[in-house]
Amino acid sequence: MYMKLRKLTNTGDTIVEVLVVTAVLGLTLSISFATASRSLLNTRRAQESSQASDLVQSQIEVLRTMTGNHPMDPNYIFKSGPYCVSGTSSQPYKLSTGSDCNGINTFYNLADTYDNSSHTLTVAATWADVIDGTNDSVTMYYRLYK
Amino acid sequence: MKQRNIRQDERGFASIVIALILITVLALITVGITQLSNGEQQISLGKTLSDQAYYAADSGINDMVNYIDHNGTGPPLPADSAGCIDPAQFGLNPHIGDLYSGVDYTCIILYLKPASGLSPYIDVTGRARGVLKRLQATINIKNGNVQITGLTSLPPIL
Repeated sequence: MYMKLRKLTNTGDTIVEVLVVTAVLGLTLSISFATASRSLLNTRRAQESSQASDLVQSQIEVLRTMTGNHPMDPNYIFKSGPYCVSGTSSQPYKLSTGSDCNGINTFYNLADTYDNSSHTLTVAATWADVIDGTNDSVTMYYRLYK
Repeated sequence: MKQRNIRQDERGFASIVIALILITVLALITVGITQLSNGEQQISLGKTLSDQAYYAADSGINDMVNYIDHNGTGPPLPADSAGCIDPAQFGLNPHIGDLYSGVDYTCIILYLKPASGLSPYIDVTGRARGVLKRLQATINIKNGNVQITGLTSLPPIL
């Protein structure tokens, strides 16, 4: 009788133990998956932000070049905007406005504006955040005189 | 019978050990991924702030060039400033963008009347939320007009 009880008790312990271990493993897996998933989304967000910075920087560099010796009328730079420029130095730069600025890069919306009183050029790239879809943006300022 | 019970106990113990090892490995992988993600975010933010500080410094140089174009190189401009000059001293607005953008330029060093063979320069340090970028523009002043002939990035002195 004692032996039988002992055997039963041991078997019960092992099942409970396995269940506990499974539960703990399941919980750990869930937490790990959620954390890793969130981290990957944050990494993606950081990459998008870097890409937006590059895009904004290239806009400023193009506008800077255009104040020098360039076929495009430099007065375009001092438009109140929002606008953006596209093209390469070998092809004439094209000026676009409003929703056309989405055409340069389908993911980012570019907006360049020039404030005549503070002589400040503001270039912003806006895009839908990968985490919650809200608008994220990178803005850079550059003071430029006519 | 005793041997059987011991074997059953060992199996239970082994499952706990395996579970602990699995949990540790999973935790390490998760921590690794989180660290990578944090690193990526830091790099991204650092790059944006560094670019903003660079354009703030360049804006400061443009402000100084515009000032000299309109007012010349006479006083209150020093011929050779030994240290940093506050931009407000010349009535310049160092804040680029709005006040809350945290982007401005802080330190102007002028070297306008150098000895022969040396180029005059304007040196400005830009700042974006604590990230500093220093630019030095060599200039050529002819008939009161300033022309930038070169732009060099230098380590910040602040």
